[in-house]
Amino acid sequence: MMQNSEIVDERILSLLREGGSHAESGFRLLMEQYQERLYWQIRRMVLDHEDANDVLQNCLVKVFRSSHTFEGKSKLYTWLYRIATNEAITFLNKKKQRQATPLDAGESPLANRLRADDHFDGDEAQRKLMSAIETLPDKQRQVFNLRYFDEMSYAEMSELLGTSEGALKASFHHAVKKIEGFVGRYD
Amino acid sequence: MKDELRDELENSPFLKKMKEQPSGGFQVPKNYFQHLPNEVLRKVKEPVPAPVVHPSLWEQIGQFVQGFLQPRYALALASVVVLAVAAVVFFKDKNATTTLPAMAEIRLEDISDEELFAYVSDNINDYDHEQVLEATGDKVPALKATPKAQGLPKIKTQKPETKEIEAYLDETIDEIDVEDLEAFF
Repeated sequence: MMQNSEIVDERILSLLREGGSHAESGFRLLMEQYQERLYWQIRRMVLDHEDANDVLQNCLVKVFRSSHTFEGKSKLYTWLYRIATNEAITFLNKKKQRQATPLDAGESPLANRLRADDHFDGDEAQRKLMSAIETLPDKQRQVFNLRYFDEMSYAEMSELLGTSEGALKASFHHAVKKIEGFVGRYD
Repeated sequence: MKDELRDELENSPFLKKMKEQPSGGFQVPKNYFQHLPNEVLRKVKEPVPAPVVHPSLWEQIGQFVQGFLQPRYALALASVVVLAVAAVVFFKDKNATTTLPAMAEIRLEDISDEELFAYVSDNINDYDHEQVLEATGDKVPALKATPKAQGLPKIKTQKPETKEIEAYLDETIDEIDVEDLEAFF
């Protein structure tokens, strides 16, 4: 029996394939269903709201323009997540080229940036957590975010990232140790 | 927090504490998610910008060549080609002309008598008598039988006898003007 989310996915894809005003309705339904999940996924990667907004809009535009290429071999969210992640990684790589971020020079520039960010009201501990997460490699950061914030099961993550459950468990374990180590050094 | 995750964070006090705190930190502007669909659809309806294509090396070469095919360059290029071809043809012909005598000497024996007669007949006016005789001599005796050759004074290759010279002079002396004779002496 199909789950509710699968029925909605079918409806979205059906409307998108019909084109014209139906495609627009389908796209609105898609955004209603997934925009917040995608936003937070991207936001935890790029951290800044303005950056997350740019990346998410680019991602959604790409989704609309290439919706006809979705073959239905995976879940709709898996496809959306991959597009969003690729878009965020591309953005981060470009940003890294523009500015070199020292990873081991006391409090990272990210902590200062978050302090000045109008869309971040966390305390020092949360700024420290974000700074620690930023030191993780991109793939490991994805694993950590999916597990720690979204509490996604390893089976779902495996389908999403195309990595074995064992490798994902090991990656998360190492990420946790790195973050604890980072926080311990600057306490 | 799920039990499974709690167990995984058992030895990570900082992450466990942060996870159990009420969520805070990242915020989004008010009504952000309400306005987002319209903003995205507005972008979707914008015309797709043409992708910036960097031409390959071959395409660059093609463009370079194409530049020469534009009218102003094509005319100049055509003029240069015409001049170059004309120069090649001119110098080729010139070389062929200058080497012709040498070739004629080398291949004289390979040329048939008929071919020689025809050539000499066609070009007889280009040479004076001495040149014709020197070039032919005894090698082409048949030449003496041609109509033009018969009109020439009969000169033997052997030294003429004195009597023969005197006889010839007697025959022609009346035809020579006195002024011409004075010019000889």
